[in-house]
Amino acid sequence: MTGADRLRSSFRDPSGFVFTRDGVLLRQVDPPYQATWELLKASGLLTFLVNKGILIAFEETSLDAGHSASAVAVIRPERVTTVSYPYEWSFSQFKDAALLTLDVQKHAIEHGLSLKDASAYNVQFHRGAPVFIDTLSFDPYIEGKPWIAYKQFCSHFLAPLTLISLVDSRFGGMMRRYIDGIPLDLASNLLPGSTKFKPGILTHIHLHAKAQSNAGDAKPKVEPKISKTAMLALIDSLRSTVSGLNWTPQGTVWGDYYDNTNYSDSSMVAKHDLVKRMLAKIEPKPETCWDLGANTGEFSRLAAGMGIETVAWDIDQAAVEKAYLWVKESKATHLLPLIQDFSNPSPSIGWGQSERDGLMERGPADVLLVLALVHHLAIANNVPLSWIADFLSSLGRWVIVEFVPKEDSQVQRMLSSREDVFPNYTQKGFEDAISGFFEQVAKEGIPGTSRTLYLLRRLPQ
Amino acid sequence: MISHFLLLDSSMNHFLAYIDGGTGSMVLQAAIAGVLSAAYVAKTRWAQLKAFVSARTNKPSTVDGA
Repeated sequence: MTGADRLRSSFRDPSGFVFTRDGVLLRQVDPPYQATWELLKASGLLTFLVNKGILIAFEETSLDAGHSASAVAVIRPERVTTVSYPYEWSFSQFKDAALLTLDVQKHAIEHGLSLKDASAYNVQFHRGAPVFIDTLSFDPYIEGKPWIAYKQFCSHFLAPLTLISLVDSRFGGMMRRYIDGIPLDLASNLLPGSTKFKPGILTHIHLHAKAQSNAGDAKPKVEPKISKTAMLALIDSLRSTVSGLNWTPQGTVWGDYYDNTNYSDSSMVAKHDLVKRMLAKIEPKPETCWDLGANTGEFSRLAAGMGIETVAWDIDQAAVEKAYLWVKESKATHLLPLIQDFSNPSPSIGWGQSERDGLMERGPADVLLVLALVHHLAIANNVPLSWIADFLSSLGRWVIVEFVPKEDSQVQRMLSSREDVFPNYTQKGFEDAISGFFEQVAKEGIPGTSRTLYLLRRLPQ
Repeated sequence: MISHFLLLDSSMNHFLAYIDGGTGSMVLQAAIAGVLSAAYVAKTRWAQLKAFVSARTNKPSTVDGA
């Protein structure tokens, strides 16, 4: 049983763990969970959740595939193309993940089980929608026992959602700092006093924080008990509280980007056509595409429309929110919008700095779309062009990149408020910089503009 | 299925509660259980009543109009 790599994120729950063998994702069930695993299968819950599309599909496979001889069962879950994390989700993605978790708990209770954790990391986006991925998250439900994952749900979902919705959308990024959810006392302090008049937030954040502080680590004198009706009422209350939270993007830089560019309609059509033709040139046909600085995902849709699993990364939460709402509305299955700041990408975090993968660890993609991004990195963030080329070569095997020269009004605008300390920012300087990492396969000017599109193939490393 | 779960009552070995639920969080759930239950029961009863009335008023009429 060699050649199996345990995922560094899978170590907390003694029920089992996830590993890969020859590139195939597998989950081993360990002896302590054997009895519950049998009950779980017999309960019908797993089949019910998979059929509803709430739980990732899986099949039980041979014990020979196990990571160790102690395996009592081995399952092969369907693989999510790109793993994402809560600090990369837009508000609606986060909200949908929270509602999905509550749905799982409600159905679990109805089947005589209960979620033993409510981690936001148990939800991934797959084929355009959130899906629960932890098949072993269930314990038998015993009436009277409170929900052990209540605190975790509030820290992982409710606290960040209330902060994004009611204080500042940038609080979503706090999940990167607090890997086990935002502490409730911190959320309570940051929320405006007016939220104490909202029953759900008063109860699940403010009173919850107070109860934690009052109780400390002491064991309660009387074991707390809640009825099944109270458990369902708790889930319903959390659901109402989450459902009542909203966020409408306002006043962002990029949310209305496509209305403010200097592209004419005909140039935009020509750019679409060029990108599509360059994508079609790539052999073999790419399976994955990362659109860096995708805005609302206009060009990502081109790739996704060709059946390529595409991630539309953008720094702006409003743009990502718009892209996600489009995915939901159109039921698109090949497009995943995510928040990402390429001047400070998601690092690897958690135990051993390898529990949650950084951006680089999740690549490379077969092809990158890098449209109207290089000038932001080179001029707004002063990154040398050769460093940008190096970065791109570590993220993608092929790259479709747009060079925007200094004459372009967008670059002129960027330079209007600062010294031009970029003598190498020229078309030749750009081509020299990429030549160390890529072979130029195609180069075409975008009609009606001074911009150029390149199709690049990464040089053997 | 029910018999399986009754058996579990006598064997806590089936529980792998690997996270700390927090004493305060457990106590709070018990403290708010009554209020939440009352609101929940009222809400579900109201929804049932509305569904019942709606079904009655939308009942298709028979051929003779009875």
